[in-house]
Amino acid sequence: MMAPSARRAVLLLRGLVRRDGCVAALGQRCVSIEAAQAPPPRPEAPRTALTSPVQHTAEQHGLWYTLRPSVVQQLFQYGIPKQYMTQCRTFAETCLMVRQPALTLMDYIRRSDLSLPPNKFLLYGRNGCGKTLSLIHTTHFLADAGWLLIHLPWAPRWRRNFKEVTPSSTIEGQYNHPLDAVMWLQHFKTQNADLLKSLQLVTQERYTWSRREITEPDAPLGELVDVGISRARYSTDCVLALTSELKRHATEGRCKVAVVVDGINTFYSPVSRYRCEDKTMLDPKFFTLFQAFKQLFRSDWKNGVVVGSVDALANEGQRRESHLPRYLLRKQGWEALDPFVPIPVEDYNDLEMRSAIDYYLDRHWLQNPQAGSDIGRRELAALSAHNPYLLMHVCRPL
Amino acid sequence: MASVLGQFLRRSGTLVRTSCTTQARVASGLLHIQQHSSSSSSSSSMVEESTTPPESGRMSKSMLAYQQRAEAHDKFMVEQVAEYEIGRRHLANMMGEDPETFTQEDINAAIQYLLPSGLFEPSARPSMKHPSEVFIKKKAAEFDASGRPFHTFFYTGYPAFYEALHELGKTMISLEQFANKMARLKVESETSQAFNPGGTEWRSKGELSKMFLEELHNKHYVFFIQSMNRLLEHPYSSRAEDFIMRFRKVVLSRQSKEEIPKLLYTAEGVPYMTGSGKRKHAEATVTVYGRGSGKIEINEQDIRFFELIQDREQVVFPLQFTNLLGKVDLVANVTGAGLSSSAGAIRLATSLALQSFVDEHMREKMRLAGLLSKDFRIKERKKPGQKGARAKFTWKKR
Repeated sequence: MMAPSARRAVLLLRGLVRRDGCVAALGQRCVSIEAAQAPPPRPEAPRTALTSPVQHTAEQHGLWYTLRPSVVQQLFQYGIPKQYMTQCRTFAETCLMVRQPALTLMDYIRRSDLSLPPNKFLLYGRNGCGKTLSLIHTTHFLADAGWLLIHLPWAPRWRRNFKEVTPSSTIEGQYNHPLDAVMWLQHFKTQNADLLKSLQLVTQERYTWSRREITEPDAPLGELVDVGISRARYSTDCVLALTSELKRHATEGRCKVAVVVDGINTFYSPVSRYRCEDKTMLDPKFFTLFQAFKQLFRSDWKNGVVVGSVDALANEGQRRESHLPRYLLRKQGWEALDPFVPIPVEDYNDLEMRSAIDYYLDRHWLQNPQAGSDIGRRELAALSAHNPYLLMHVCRPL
Repeated sequence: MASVLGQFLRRSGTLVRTSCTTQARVASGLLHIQQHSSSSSSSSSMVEESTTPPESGRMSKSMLAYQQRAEAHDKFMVEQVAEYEIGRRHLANMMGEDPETFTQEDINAAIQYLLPSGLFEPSARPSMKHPSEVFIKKKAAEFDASGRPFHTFFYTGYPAFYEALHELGKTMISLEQFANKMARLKVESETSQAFNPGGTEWRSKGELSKMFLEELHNKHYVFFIQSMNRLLEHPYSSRAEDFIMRFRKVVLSRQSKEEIPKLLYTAEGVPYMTGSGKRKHAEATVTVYGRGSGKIEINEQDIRFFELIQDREQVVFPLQFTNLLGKVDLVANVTGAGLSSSAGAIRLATSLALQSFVDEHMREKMRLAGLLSKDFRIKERKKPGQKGARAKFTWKKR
């Protein structure tokens, strides 16, 4: 049994008794002095009112711009990563931070000489740094700047998560993705509906799908797309036809075509999930869809630009050790895409980290009163290693 | 004596079991107490006086047996001590040391070297201790040849204990008298004359039992400590310090013993300190560099070396606690399997290194927070006849 003075001494030592004698609740652990001060007032998120990326410059670096719901519905039904989309729904708005890689990309695209073969810009970086969202930003910019979009939201879906693969009836030794091609054509149509109408592009070849289904030359391209959407059997060939047509139109100067592919290194991976009749796993180079896109990576057309991301997660599990382009693209990818402009995407710097935490505070996502304090911000930065994706994870239970 | 006892009883307000001795008997008994109090409360004192039968020439059988037992025990102890000494000299010879200066520590080291043991329980390992530490101390003869006990309180069953209580009562009364005298003379001291209990704590029930050589009950111990605490609360209790310190043991804090190493400096003048820590089978060496920007490096990777947020929090906690997060750089090297244990080892190593960067107040807070203590928990051994350390095999009723 301790004397009352001894017990009080113990309590004082444990920091459970304040000077005025009140005993704090049990379970209150020792905290540093700074954290015990009153929390700072809630900051406003640093936003910009410019909703079109065409207007974004280095002045908007670190600021958050809002995508209008109509834009999200039209352009990004498939583009935005699922977890980020869930967060946007929680926050009741779709916002993106203006960051350096996207600004660099947009600047390069503006300054590209379109009379030359298309420039290839590839984003690369570690997981969670913001490659996909930078691509989203750039895609929005391209759409607003009047480019026709050939947008592949996440290329590895065709290699490892395809709905169905069937041998091609038209081209010997190749394989089709009936359902995936339909989905992609719908996505293409939604993205480029207005532009296709205004540009009034027409087919230049005759496509015989079957004895009764024929697409004549000088038919609007929209019709070609509709054929693919309505008949899954011909959808893959339709995609191939569409890409060839668009390439030709671009070369002839009727439109400017932007190819945006997230996870471009998946085209050069030798592993797919499809088992052929002779029990071997199919090499993805025999996918017609891959062929359709690979022809766009060649330097034999004009008025175009190729924007992509080289992602470790787009490769198979055994080939993800490094995030650098040469390793992920392998020899054949490097030779196919070289020369390209590599654009590094890095973790948040101090300005961006501050902006991100301010945004979470503005959205009332961070409920802990110390989250906005100096020590709290430093803790968040340390735990997430300045990585945007990890910051999202760390902030979830707060 | 009875009046002193009575006063004590009145003050304490509880019933103390008194010995039923007469006044005259008590007076003579006092002499015996003074002579034999030291002998009864100290260890293995040998009865040097030979057993002589009383004047009448008769001694009861039980008395004789008792005295024979006491003699036999003493003889036994003498033999054991002689054997121990011989053994000690032999051991010194074996180890090539000087037998004259071979201390108990040397004996322990020699036994550990000659008979290494992997047993977990220290008391199960081989050891060579002095017989006084091995064999239970017994009280010397408590009554003379005529059967008359030496100690006044012999018939209480706990003579040494009640003697201590009586002395406590006497001390209390003398302090009261002193206080009254001081009040009469209107002498007030500026500094407190009360006993300072800092750095010491009451001996445990087992220790007191060992001191008195009497098996105390809980009620005895509780009463004793309560009474002693009341003595401590007296404003002039420092005058009774010698008496109080007989029943208190000094509790040294490890902090005051260990010296905190001073900061080292690199060639560029950057302060740094190294700390090492262990947890289960993980060993970590951490160097903390001052004037840093919050970089954390673990085995040449950043904090993403740990995937679990819990492990990252463990690494970051010492820095956050001392408010040095973002102000120092951390370079850690950790070996040994297990991520959680690696994180714990890094945490301990970081805390030990940070000691040199912070002031004493913060060091004490760190100690209280448990940052500076090694976590000694290890995997518990599996026992035979059980499925695991604690889990038993399935119990079948029949």
